[in-house]
Amino acid sequence: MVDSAEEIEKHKKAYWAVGIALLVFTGITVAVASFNFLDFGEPGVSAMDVAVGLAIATFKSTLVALIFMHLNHEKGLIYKILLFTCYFAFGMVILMVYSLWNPIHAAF
Amino acid sequence: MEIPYEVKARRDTGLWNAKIGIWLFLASEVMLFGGLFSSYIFLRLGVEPGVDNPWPTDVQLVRYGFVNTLVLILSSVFVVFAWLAIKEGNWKKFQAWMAAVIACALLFLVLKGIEYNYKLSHHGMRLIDNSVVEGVVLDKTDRIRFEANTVTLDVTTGSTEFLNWIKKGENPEFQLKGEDGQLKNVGNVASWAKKMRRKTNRIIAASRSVRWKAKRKGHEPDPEALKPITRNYTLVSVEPFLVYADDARLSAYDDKVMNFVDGTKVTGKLLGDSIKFEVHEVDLQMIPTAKQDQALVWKLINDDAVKSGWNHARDEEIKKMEKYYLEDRGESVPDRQMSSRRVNVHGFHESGSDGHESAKSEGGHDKAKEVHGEHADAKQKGHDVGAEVELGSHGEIVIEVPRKQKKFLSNHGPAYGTYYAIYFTMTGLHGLHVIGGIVVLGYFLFFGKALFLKDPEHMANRVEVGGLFWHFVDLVWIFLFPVMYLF
Amino acid sequence: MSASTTTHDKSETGGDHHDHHNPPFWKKYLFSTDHKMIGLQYGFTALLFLAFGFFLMMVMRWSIAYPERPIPLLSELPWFQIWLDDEGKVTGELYNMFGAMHGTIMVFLGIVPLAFGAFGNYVTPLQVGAPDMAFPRLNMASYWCYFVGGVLMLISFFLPSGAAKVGWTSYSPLASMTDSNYSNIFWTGQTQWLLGMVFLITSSLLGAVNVLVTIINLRAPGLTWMRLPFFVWAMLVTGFLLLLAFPPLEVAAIMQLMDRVAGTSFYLPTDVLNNGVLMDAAGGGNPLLYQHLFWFLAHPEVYVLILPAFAIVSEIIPNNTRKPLFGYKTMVYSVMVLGFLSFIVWAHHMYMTGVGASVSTFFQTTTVLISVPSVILLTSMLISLWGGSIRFTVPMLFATAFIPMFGIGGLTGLPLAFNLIDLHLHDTYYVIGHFHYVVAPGTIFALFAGIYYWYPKQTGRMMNTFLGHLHFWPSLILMNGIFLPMFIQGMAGFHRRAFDGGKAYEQISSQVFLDGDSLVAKIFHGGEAIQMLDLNIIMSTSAWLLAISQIPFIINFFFSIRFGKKVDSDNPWDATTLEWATPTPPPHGNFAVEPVVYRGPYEYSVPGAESDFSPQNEPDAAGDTAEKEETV
Repeated sequence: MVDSAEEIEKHKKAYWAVGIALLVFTGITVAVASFNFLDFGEPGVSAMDVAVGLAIATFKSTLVALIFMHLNHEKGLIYKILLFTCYFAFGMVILMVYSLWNPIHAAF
Repeated sequence: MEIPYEVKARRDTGLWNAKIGIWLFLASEVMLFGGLFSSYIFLRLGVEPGVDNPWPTDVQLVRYGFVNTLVLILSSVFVVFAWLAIKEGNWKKFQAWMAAVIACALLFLVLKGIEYNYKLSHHGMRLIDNSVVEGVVLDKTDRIRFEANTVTLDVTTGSTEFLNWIKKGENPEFQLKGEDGQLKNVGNVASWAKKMRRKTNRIIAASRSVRWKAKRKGHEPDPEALKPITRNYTLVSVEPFLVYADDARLSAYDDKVMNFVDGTKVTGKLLGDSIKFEVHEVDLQMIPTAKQDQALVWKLINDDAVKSGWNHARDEEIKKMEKYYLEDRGESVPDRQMSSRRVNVHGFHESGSDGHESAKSEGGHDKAKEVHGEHADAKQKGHDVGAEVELGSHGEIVIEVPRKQKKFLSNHGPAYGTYYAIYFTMTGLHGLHVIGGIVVLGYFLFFGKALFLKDPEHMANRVEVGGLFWHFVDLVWIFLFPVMYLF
Repeated sequence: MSASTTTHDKSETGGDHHDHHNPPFWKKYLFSTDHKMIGLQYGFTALLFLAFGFFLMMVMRWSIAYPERPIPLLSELPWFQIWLDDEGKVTGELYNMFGAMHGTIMVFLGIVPLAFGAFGNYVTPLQVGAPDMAFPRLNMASYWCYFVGGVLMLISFFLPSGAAKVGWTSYSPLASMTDSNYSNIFWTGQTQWLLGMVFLITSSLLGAVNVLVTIINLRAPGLTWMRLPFFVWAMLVTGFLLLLAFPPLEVAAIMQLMDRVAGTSFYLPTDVLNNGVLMDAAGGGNPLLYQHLFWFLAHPEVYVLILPAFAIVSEIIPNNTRKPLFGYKTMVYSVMVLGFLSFIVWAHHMYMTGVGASVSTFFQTTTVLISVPSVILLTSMLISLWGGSIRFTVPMLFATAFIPMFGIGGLTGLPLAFNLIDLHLHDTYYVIGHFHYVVAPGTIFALFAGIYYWYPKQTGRMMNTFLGHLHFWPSLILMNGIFLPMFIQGMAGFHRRAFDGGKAYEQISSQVFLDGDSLVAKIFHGGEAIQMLDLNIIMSTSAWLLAISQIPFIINFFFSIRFGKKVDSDNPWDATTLEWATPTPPPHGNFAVEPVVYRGPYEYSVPGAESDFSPQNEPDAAGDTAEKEETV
């Protein structure tokens, strides 16, 4: 992994680049939410705004996970653990929302 | 005994123990925040229009959240450099980077504290017709003011609610009439009540034992055991004392008596129960547009000019919707937008301080500039006509609300609606994680040198694990920021 | 592995260890980092809690059987008396309190700590050939978090408000507003329950991380995944369930804590009434949110209760049938599928809450699906008995009894999976019977089996066989005496939370269950018809007798430490797994020689082998080392 001097130098560059990208994308998120001409979808908070905001957040967190948390060259076992976790976490969210959208009075 | 693979990776998994450990821990953290985020979604999607409070979307201090995001991202960058420094074997450099990380974390907490403080010092009140005023409660009038001289309580409940509401600084001395008719000081009421509870319960138990034993054996019990047992005691205060009670903790009250929920009764004289409220905003989202003119809040403010200023701002909003949909796109305005628009606008802002983010319209219009511009207009109007109504120290409108017309009153803390509740819970838990991170990383910074000298690789592993946790805290915030502040 | 483990030799017990250091008492017994000591700490604490939970249940059963009579003995205790009514009868409040705490204590403070904390801690590192858990200090923290959680739960009994009273599920909004009339909301039963749960959850998380890392990273050389004993596999899956299912409960508990202490309305709908008065809350919350979060934990939790039982039984069965476990690989895959499915079945507890047709269809389907791996596991164990020369040792008695008992519990659960039937059976004694068959004669029997089985490893002495039989047979009969009538009552519609045992429902309770001509009625009831309510007396009497029949176990447990029959070797049961390759008792660091594994876990009666068991660490012939190299 990170053992030789030039490897460390390479890493440093990558980390700065990622850090700056994260800062820039945070700025973009706020700009999109604050300026009218950058508004997506309907006026006010709409599904489109949420989708764009979450897409940026997901991209940012992917950068953090892959580069800062070294998931880009991690062992298979860690991926397996995270895969399980994602399955359960998404199962929870999706099924909870599903049950909210289909209450019993909707069936009659 | 030494645990294998503490520092060196195991061959088949390619990992050392703590690395698997931290990832498993992070997996459970994912489920923790996953549970919180799904609660957020569940609560937000579950808002029933017209029944529940609308989900507020623009009550945040965005700039604080924004700066905090930047601060946390920077600290995340610093933590990888601290790790690289230790990989290079440079302890001084490591210390510098790590100190920067902790400084960022502390800055984050300070900004968070400012934000919390701002929220907790503002109030909102829902009136019985569901009109809402936002502002500040003046002179602690959210409490019922009472001048009391005697207290009656059932000692077996073990509860002394009135003690929680004695005004700060008051130090009443309570006396109790003894069996000989003499008044005796009871000292500390809480410990007296505890003692009496134990004593009375013992008497009850003893009396029961005697009676049950007699019943089993079939003879008459000792008449001593049949004597009624005193549970209720009346304490008299030497001097009258002030009780400022939260009405949620009262089951009933009138001019002479306050009954607390635990059965404690305080007698004396009611000093006042109306609420003095400095109005910053009026929010009629829960009232249909046609009925907004008759809203209770206007009777309380009692100034037609304020009302017309507010109405003007609302009509502007509706016009804007019609322009966006009807004129520009040729579509009819969707019901959702119409209803939310009409009800959402609460343009009345009298404080004059522009720092309030909450001066924007509710219900989904967080495009700050536009709203601010528009509200300046309404604000101006309100200011011009507000001269006749009672004004606070900075020229705000102050209203006096009879307690019976109040439905719910709280500061903008977690109690003020589900949005605030989940906001405080999630950011609070995230804050606890930040504090945890400070403790762990601070430990590395100040006490890590011994291990570094002994086994630098082990120390590097530790920093990596601490760093992984720190990145995760950052990662959660990356989602929290837009979810809590922007939509 | 480090060399220091090999410096331990068998004379460790003799006094050799005085040489390096003799830790002080508190370090050796209280704040020990040795996984075995922590396992024993867990075990003793959990057994005490089990006994306490059992005591609570006996009081409840008095109220159910004889609601009109004062409770004997206990009415003399002053603390207890204040919870009784003026004639000494159990009040509804006391019943609710004991009911809620019985569930909580049995599940969170009794069975899970005993199964996962004690057996998981003690046996897992031994079976994988590790010197200790991966994080010994974390392990200690885990036990002490559990201890603090337990103490908080116990303290709550002595608060003015009493302990939590709203059922072990703590459903909101009731739980959010209960005891809100007390001046200090923090020191009320429900708040302390929530705080206690936060500690217990933390403890479980630490324990789970530890067990998982130990299994993943500390396996002995040669111990490949498919050579792991089934016990370890079950612990692995249990660890994952605890790790991933508990955080949502923590969320639920924190939010309920906020509802109670900070006045939030997470679970309070708009304009909710408390005692007919509009509550002072903003509203807008949703009680269903609590149920979702709670059952997201609590269903996997059921598998946390049962998987260690499977684990223990599947160790004991091959050992006592002297033949391999049937379908080892199938069982491993089944247990993984079980773990996966257990996360998406939770809403079958919520059919009555108004989930819609398509949601309940989804959950019905997954619930029925999950019975498939369960049945595979149980059937494999059953088939493992086939054709074996079974030694009916005491652990084996409990293990064999586990199979039909769990079978009854599991199969009676199937009808509950269907929405239509559940609408009738929901919250009746049928559900109680179903659940208790799974955990009481199911899991608890397996735990007893485990205690009898691994006892000689720690003490070097066997437990007494006669006392073991005296413990087993009455327990088996009485367990059925308690829980079998529950199905009958439940189908007749008896509600589970009626503190008078259903007396208020005269119409149902006077229903005749067996008429006077029947043989049972003639023998036990003097020829009078047995009514539904009479079953209460049968069940309650069985429960009290069951308490008495645990006395032989308690005597046996302590008596055998000093006077039990000494084991003649480190491997008294002629078992194959690695824990029997350690000295007796295993010293700190466990193995005298670093174990190397050459074979699968259940090689009993291998054709051509010298004895009828081939331990995992016994080299076969030449040539096996090559495999070891490639699988380290």
